[in-house]
Amino acid sequence: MNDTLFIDATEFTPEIHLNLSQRKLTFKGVSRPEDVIKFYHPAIQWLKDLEQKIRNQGDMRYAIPSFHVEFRMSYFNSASSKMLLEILQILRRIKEMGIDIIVDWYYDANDEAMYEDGMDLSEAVDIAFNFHAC
Amino acid sequence: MDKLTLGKNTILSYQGPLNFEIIGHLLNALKEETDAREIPLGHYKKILSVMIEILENVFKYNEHFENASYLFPTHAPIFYIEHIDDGYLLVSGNPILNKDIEKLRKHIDHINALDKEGLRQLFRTTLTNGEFSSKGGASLGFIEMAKVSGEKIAYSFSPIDETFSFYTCKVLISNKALNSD
Repeated sequence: MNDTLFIDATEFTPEIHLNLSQRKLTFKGVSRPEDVIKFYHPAIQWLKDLEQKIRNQGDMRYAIPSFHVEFRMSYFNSASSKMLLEILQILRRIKEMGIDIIVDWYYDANDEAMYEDGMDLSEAVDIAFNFHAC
Repeated sequence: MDKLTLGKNTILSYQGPLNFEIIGHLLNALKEETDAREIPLGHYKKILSVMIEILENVFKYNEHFENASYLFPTHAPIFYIEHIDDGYLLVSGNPILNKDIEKLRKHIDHINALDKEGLRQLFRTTLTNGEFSSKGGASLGFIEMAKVSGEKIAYSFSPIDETFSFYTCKVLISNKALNSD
């Protein structure tokens, strides 16, 4: 797997930046892709490869004590929420292998729905999020 | 025949085929109209959220009627938004296979029977367990619309022929829901 995966934002898809050496994953912007599965496939595959790598290399959990995940979404449709959950489910499996997963969920202080969307995902995947109104 | 007419209380109105690109144009048109009418940002976001789900539902169903060209132009998909005394009314219409009506009716009735907390619960279970296709699905769209609107989803089916009916879906974003946060 590559150390980084970067997908630039478009009018209807978010910026995705996955960085292994920085131990940081960022999702930012709008998400209503024409084909959600196709759009999120590279990110999901990257994370699955990471999961496999950690599973195969017992010492990796010591080299990577934690991952910092940042969501800065301004809008995502209901189909995208399913993909975000899938991403979080992989992260949860990584967490279960002993790597701390820290999820920061940023939302517009006037956008209560975005806060609730974060709550829904947090509870669905059973990972506590840090919520930041901005 | 495509048409885009804008009256005083009609924020947007469209009739014609719906693909991903056209949905994008309609979303841009909504932005322009809300700016011109000085509709508050919070209202705009709620309208946008319902509009995307209602249009994507039509778009996802396209494949079932797009080749039945005899249905057009009289039964081409429609979409409009009206600002009425009770709030914002979003309406979509499209041909539906008669064999799919019962399933859809049951699904909407199920959602309409739930209160706010029930909708959140259903959203979470559907998110975790729902079936999913490349265009979305998993029924999350209707739940999302019901969550935002704060009202029951109204629907009707008017028969076209032995294969198709015309399905109309109406979502009201009530003033109460608009002022909830």
